[in-house]
Amino acid sequence: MPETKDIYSNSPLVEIVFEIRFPGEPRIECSRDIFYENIRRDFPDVLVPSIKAGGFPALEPYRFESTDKKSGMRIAINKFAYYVREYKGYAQFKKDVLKWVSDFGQVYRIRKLNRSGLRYINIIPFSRESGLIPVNRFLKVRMDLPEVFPKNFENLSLVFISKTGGGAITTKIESIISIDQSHEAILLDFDYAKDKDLSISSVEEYIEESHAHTKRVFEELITDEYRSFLKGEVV
Amino acid sequence: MTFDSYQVREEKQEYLPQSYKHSEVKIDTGKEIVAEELLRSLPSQKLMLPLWSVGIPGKTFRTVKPIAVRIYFDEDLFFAENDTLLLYGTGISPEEAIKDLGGHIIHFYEYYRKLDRSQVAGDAIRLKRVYENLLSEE
Repeated sequence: MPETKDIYSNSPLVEIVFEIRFPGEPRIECSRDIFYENIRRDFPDVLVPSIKAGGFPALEPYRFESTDKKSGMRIAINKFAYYVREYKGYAQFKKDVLKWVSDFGQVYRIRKLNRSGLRYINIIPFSRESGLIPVNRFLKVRMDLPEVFPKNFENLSLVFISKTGGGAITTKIESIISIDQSHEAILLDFDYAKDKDLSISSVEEYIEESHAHTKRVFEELITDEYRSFLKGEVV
Repeated sequence: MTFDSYQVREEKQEYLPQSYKHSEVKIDTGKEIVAEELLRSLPSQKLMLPLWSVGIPGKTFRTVKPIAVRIYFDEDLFFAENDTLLLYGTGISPEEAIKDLGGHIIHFYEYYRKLDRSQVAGDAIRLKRVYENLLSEE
């Protein structure tokens, strides 16, 4: 496996989320203020969810965000998520996750978990070459299709779930265009999930496993020429 | 044309015979996140893209190191800019702006290679050094 640093200077990572789910706990709804007091200093901005017709308000998370919008939490009756938009490396992220999960678990007496998920959202801007997406410059994506199919893509959307030793990883590779149509990018989205016999006391083990597997997948998926761009070896 | 292809994809993904339903292959962690909104709100540093080759009719060059290009839209035109080379290209699409930038890069690559070191001064010394190791002909 290629040697890597923890953070690339031109990293495509735009958001990382660690989420736990648990049996619905009404105390979270009724005493939202108690935990907010613990996080008010770091995450003072409160963003209330908008509810679509037919939606379930208790399942839609409130967001508590830092004033610079670089990190925050999403909290609903059955889930807690911590997210970061300015990644300072895995060690720092894990430390923060463990602190906030522990605080949250103590306040609402959460023990049993239904699911843990670690998601890395990467956005890779690109420019088309002869109208096509140059995906193979960035990613080692090969589809073993008959010769009749051209190997170049005008548009791309792939989602697949792979079983791992301890969970499953969902990978999404999709071309996206910004709402104002000024930029296109390849969305490279990983979601490593575990969902059997989980406990809040083992969150460190879950995040370690999720991170290690996802990092390996990312490093194996990117091309060497893209890696040199990520390392900042550019003009 | 590009935007049309996204609309076609959306329509195709929505179509399903009535007796079937979509399988649940979706990202579940932080499912409230909309990637297109993240893309719109990215700082310019995160919108930098690599350029691995440049060309003009009859000539294509491979870049020795990727050229980092920033794309932005202003006054009905797309701009493709590189800060190190102090160059930009324009066009009605990002692809055209990059093609225009590529033409400028090749022009200055050939210009600086022909110049003798005694003929350059100030920032041109730096630029000559950069251009000398910038491209290789394919």
